Amino acid sequence: MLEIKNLSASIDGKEILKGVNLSIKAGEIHAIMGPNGAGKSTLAKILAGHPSYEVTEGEVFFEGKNLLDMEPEDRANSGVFMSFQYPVEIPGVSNIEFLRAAMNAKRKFRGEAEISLENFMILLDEQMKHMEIKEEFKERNLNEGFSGGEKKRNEILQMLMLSPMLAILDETDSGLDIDAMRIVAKGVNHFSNKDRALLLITHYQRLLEYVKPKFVHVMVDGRIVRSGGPELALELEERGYDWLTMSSPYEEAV
Amino acid sequence: MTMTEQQVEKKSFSEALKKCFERSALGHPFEKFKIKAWEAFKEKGLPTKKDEVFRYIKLHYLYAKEYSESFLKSSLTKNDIAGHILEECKNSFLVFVNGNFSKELSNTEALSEKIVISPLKEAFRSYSALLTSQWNKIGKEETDPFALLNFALHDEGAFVYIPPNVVSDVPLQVLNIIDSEDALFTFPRLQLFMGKSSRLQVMSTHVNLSSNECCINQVAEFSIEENATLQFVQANTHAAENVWHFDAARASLKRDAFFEVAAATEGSACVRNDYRVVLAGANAEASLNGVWMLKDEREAHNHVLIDHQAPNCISRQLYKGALDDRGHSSFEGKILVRPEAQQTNAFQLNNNLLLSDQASAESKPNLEIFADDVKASHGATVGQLDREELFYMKTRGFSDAVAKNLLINGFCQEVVDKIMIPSLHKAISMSVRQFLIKE
Repeated sequence: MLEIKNLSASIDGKEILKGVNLSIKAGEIHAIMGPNGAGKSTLAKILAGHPSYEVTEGEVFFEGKNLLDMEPEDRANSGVFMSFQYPVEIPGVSNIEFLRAAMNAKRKFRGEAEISLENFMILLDEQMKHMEIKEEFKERNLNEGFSGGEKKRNEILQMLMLSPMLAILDETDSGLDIDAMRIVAKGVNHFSNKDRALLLITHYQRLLEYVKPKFVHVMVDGRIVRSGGPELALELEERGYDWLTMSSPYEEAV
Repeated sequence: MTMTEQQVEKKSFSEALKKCFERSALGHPFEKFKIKAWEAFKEKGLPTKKDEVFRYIKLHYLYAKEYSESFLKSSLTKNDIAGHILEECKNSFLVFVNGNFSKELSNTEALSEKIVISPLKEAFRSYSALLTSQWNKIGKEETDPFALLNFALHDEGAFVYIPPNVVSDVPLQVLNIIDSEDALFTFPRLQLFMGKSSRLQVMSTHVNLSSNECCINQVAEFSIEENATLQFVQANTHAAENVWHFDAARASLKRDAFFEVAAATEGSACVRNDYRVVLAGANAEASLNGVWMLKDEREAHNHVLIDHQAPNCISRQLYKGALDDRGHSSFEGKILVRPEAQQTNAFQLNNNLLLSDQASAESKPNLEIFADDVKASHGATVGQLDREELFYMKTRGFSDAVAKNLLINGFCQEVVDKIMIPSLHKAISMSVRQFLIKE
């Protein structure tokens, strides 16, 4: 589904990614872990199409299409979703209005008819129940005045509603209390199936207790330095990142 | 010394005004006051860029124009205007045609019978004391040259009197129509008196039935007695690019009175809103709100003076501008707190959003405080759309234009929501939401 080949990127002339290789197939859950400043969030933003980063080398293919040539909105409408580490607050647009417009933007892109209000509401009520989001949040302005946990739950609600093929969750677990973590994990597990892929970006392995990845990758200084199974996350939890930073052995990604 | 081209044009513009004054003032029932207004205007002269409060306005373009003033009766019928009446005001609207109030075209059936509405000349016979006391201030309090011109040159204004304790659930629309083959200079004038504890909503709207350019020089004077509430909406959208529009509102508030303005414009050659609000009684409150959305080379200018004369009053100003292309705006707001206006609470904010490199917004807040127990704040910003917000919207599948529109909408909404009339709120919201989608 996603093929990242030797991806290098910089911001303001500073090199952040230094040749990332990663391949994700449908049905797989991958986790990228690593110390702060390793380039994990940068990778997520580049995949979503953030305009501030310059790709200096490499390629990214999503379902065989050159992702880097696509506008952020076209990537989204083609099935790539990114949950933000810091979701922005948008005044003047209600949550419900935003979701419906986003769903219809995707449908329009695919040449499909708009979703009926009735069907939209049925779907929304169901997904809001999954995310344990109160009714009143429908009419509230998008993320405005939401707590950190509410914002993250709202991101996962958007993911469930927009139903992408590939979801990239950028530090979705950071700043969550145990209840919010449980709810977010429930939403993520609900989303996950054999046709969809997930890329979890996280600093801690906390989320991975709830959402089981098939592969864990460690990113240090703009490179994936080690890849393995779920046991790698536990090893990192025990030993930290220092042992990897020191030796920095380069391994080809899975 | 030889005159420059611009000086020649200004002189002939000024001479045309003089002819207009001579025709309109002599023999007019308000002749005495009109002469006073004209003298006060002459003393100031036509403003230029050198006048502080007009420095952002390209007045020399106005002075290069030749307008004719119209005393012609229009042949418009009620059917011609029906499409321009808000659905909430089907039987409660005043019509001005080419600057003059038309009693025949107006319809006030839905309003309380106690409310007095009449042509200003006619009202002068029954309400001469009320009007005289108001007009005695001409040349003293009123110093804006265009507002003075309005009085000197207007022919037939509208008079509205809301008796004490009359609370109107029905809003009143004031529709200004331009219908002429000529390029007109018009002078609509509204005198509105709100009695004690009365309540009313007034919406001022405009329509130009001809494609001709024109200059509208409009004044609304409000006298708001104790505990009365007036909400005033100025909707000035869909104006042609070549229209000049001076729109002045004057309000004097007695004790416990409330006055709220919500103005929305898409600009034109120049839309200039000028406000003077006097908080003359304790506990009075004024809330002034404006939004402008400018494209092409359109301009919008706001000039506000809030005069705190009594203790415990509140004033709020919230002005938001979204500017694309070569749009240009200015905001100049002054809060004057006189020594006796203790425990004043005054707030002023102007935010501007520039959507193009060539758009420009000027902002000049101004505080003059002579009392010691005062809470006052002011702020101004000129910025661009937040890149992260825009990126977020795009990652949810919205095109650049739609994403920007949603953000602009969010930026403007606080002001737009002050428009209480649903149909007008909807129409203005639509304009905001489609700001960047070029059709």
